[in-house]
Amino acid sequence: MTSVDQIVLNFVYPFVRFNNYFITGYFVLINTTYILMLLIAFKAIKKYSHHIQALEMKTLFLTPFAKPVSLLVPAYNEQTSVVESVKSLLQLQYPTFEIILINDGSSDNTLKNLINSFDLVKTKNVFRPQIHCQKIKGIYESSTYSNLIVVDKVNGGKADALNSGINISKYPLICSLDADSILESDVLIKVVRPFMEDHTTVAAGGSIRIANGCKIFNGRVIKIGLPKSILGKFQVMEYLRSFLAGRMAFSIINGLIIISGAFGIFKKDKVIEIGGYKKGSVGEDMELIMRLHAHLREKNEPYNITFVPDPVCWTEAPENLKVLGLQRKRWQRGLLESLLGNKRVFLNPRYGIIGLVAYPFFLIAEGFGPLIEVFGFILFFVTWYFGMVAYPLIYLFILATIVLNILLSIGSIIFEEMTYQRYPKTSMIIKLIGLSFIEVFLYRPLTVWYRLVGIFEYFTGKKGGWGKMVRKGF
Amino acid sequence: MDSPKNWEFDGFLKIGDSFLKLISEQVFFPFHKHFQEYPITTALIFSVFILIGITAFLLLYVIYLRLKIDRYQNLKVRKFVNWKKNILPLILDNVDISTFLKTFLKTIKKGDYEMFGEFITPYLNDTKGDSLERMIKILREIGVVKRERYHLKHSNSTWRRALAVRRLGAFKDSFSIEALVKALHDKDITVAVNAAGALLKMGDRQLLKTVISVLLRNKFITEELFAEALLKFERTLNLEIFLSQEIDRYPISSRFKIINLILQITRTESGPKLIIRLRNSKEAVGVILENEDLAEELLDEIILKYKNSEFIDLEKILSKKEKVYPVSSRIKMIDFIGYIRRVEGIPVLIDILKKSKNDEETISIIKALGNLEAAESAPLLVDHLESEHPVIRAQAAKALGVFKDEKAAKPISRLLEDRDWWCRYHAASSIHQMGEAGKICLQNFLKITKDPFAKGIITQFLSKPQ
Amino acid sequence: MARILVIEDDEHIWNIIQYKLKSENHEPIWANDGLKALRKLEKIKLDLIISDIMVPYLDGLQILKKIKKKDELKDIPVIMLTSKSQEKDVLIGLELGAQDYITKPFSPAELILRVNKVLRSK
Repeated sequence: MTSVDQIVLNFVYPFVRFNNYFITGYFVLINTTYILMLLIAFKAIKKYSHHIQALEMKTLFLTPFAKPVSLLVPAYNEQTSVVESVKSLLQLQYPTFEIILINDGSSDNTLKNLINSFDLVKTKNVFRPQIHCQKIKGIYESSTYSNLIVVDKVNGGKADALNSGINISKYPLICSLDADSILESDVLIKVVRPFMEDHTTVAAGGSIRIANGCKIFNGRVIKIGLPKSILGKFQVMEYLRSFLAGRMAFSIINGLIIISGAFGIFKKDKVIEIGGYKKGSVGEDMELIMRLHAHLREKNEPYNITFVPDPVCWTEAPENLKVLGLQRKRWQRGLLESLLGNKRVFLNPRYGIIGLVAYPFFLIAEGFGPLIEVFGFILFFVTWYFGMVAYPLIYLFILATIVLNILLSIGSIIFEEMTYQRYPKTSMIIKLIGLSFIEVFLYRPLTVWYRLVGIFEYFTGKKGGWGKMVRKGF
Repeated sequence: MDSPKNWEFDGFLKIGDSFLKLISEQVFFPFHKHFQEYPITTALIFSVFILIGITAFLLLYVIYLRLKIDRYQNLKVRKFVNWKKNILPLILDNVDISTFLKTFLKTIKKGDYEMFGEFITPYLNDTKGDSLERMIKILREIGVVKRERYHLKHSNSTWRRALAVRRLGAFKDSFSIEALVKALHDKDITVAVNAAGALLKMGDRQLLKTVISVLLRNKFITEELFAEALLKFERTLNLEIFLSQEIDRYPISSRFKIINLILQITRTESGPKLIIRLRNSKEAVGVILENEDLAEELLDEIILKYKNSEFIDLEKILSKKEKVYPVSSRIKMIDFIGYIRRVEGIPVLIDILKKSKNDEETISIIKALGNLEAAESAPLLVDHLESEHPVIRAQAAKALGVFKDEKAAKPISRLLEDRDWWCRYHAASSIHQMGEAGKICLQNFLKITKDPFAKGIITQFLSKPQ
Repeated sequence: MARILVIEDDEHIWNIIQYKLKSENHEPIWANDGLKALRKLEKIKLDLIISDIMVPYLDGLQILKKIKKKDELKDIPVIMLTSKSQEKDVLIGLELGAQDYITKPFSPAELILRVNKVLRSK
């Protein structure tokens, strides 16, 4: 036996066999978890939609007990869409709320457009700096809309902008929004309800859906449609899966560690207690929640963080590869930052479900998942090189991946159909399902690649920015 | 004897038998064999095939669901448009009920009854009077009410009961009262709160007492849910509930709930003009109050008229020893007096303020005095501007601002340089409210002060339009 | 025979009001949000406005304020439509110059009475 053969026998074979088990095991574990999540989410969504049916939504927001909310909208160079966004917020149906739009040192006409559209007048208001933030250059109030405030400040990043908004806000609940979030008009009452039903609720989030392809007028979605590009459609499915199934499931087991910054409500005093958003953080939304969990568990204070599937926030998704790439890389960096910045939580029974289930799951499946997937791919090449490919296994693998993807997608669509039926045309549903057949080959590798680069960028110290979003405007 | 029936049955058994044998030989045994050799792999392959099966099934299910829903929606839209044109006028017009029922039953098919229930339900919450009666009569006739009663009694699913309860409330179904009271004690809070709302819609004050006592005892029902239920009571909530003897046996947190609620609701009676609109019998008073000149003259007389047992109870309560009513309740009651503008309570409040040693209580009295615009308490409040507790200082400044008494400007202005933000804010706000004299006071202070925070808050107010 | 603008975003309430006004030979016009209401106010000559307090974009009180500022609109009588817990808004509305108000749930017959009373007193 040549030395090469010996090496192959003693090292490569066992290596490959071990990794076959490892990869397969990982695959089975992750997908079983996804299916489990799907089942849990199914039950939860059904329960929630029944709960809503039994309530009289129309009169709910008329109660004088509806907690007032401060909406915080950080904006950076959003001249094309900012006016529309604010209009969309003005038409929300809720008894008491204020809109605080924070212009984070934009270099374009964001501020000018706002001043012109809403009759803004600069005030000499002072505020209490409860959380440190960059210098505020001016606070503007609208003479027409008494609940609109615009804050102009020196650039400091999204987290910093949110913190300045918290300083200016008057009300006990704060809602972080993106500058392009379009909310449905009854969103606030639905997402504030958990705070009214259970006083231990400290945070709540709603679904995010993709606005591309929808007809929007005066800040309201009047007609729902699918994005034109395939990339957009893939993202629609992705969001449906991750929100309706993913977040719902984690919320039920009290393990929700992400509430999207595009739409999340928090109790202001708790946020101030943990020092507000972390300046310079990439994924400030997830970072905040992780710290909130850790803090409240350390304090042994009973609390509830929940996901409400019904209220929807429509947001513009990137339909071009470059911007999508930037977004996904940023998300990956944000994820790793939030997780690795709170290492003490990992597998620590002190943090309950968060430490034992949520954190490990996200770390392995989302955080390092791309690494494992790529590794599997490399492994395939190694085995192919050594002529050890077990083709049936590979076929099975591919088949399983496709089927599981379709299963999860269809599952999410079924939830959607059972409850909200927001996609009016049957053809839309068919298109979405059809695409889930090929998503594994086209979209999945793309996102895995971006996430991989994101991991690399994180460990080589790339810092977060605003994330350029080339706005097409509504 | 070989009857055709038996012959078929035999054949069935035979075919079934060989089919099963086929499956077990071709599928089961090989599977079993492989499973024994390579358990993991076989399990995996098997699961994949099962998954494919499930997926295919779900795919068909989705399409089926979608088509079903589409069809239902289209049908619904068509019918609703038709009913809006033909049935709604019947309901809204002053037609006598029996003729109306006859016409209605002729127009709608039996199979549409359920959909009709869906059509008419939103209108139930929007209307009152004859139209509502007509709608409820139809719903009775077509059995919708009966069906909901059935679901309430027999349904195992919580949400269906909650829904039934809500609908029965909308129907104002007095036959269901017993079942609704039972639902009030349901473990699920949605059912309980809906039951409360449903019972209250019927407008019976006896029921009101029952509802309140049950809701208060349920510790899972928050103040907000409590308020939501009570808001459904269509008549005016009067003090009598609040002051009834029964409130004593509730724990503090419950008393807090009631008081909080009544605070919110009766706060709406904040203007004499609105008293007219109340559906109670003091209409003459209302007419007087609408005429502002008359109102001023006759205000004392009116207060005397309202000064029945309600007020005297308050006095008794407030002067009782703290053992019976802990501070937290006294505070809520004080807040309440302030909010409902019981001006005759002012002397009592001033008295308590002088004696009070509790900070929380002091704060709530000061707030109430502000709400009541009790200008006579100004000297006392000025004293409190120097309290150690920042909230007391701030609230005293705020209340003094309501009185718009220029004499208070000087003492308040000391607070402009206070350490606490709210003190500075209210000081500036109050002085600002005093008109020209206030503005001058602020401007002068701005010139003298070296405190940057004071400068900031004064500038903020000076730049506001009056 | 009056032209009446109804500012209300609930379709069912509009259906009720529309039918009742039509049977009294009035001409009801619908605006289901604040912005549409303002546009109709500019374009059409109206005899009466029935406005819900809570409508999208601009609530009833803000619309009322705007109306009272414009010379050509300030004499149009306004009836407010409110829910029980908004009664403090009613007070503000009455102070701003609204003629009358109705609380939801309302009796359609009562609504007509008030509409006619307000139109007569014009």
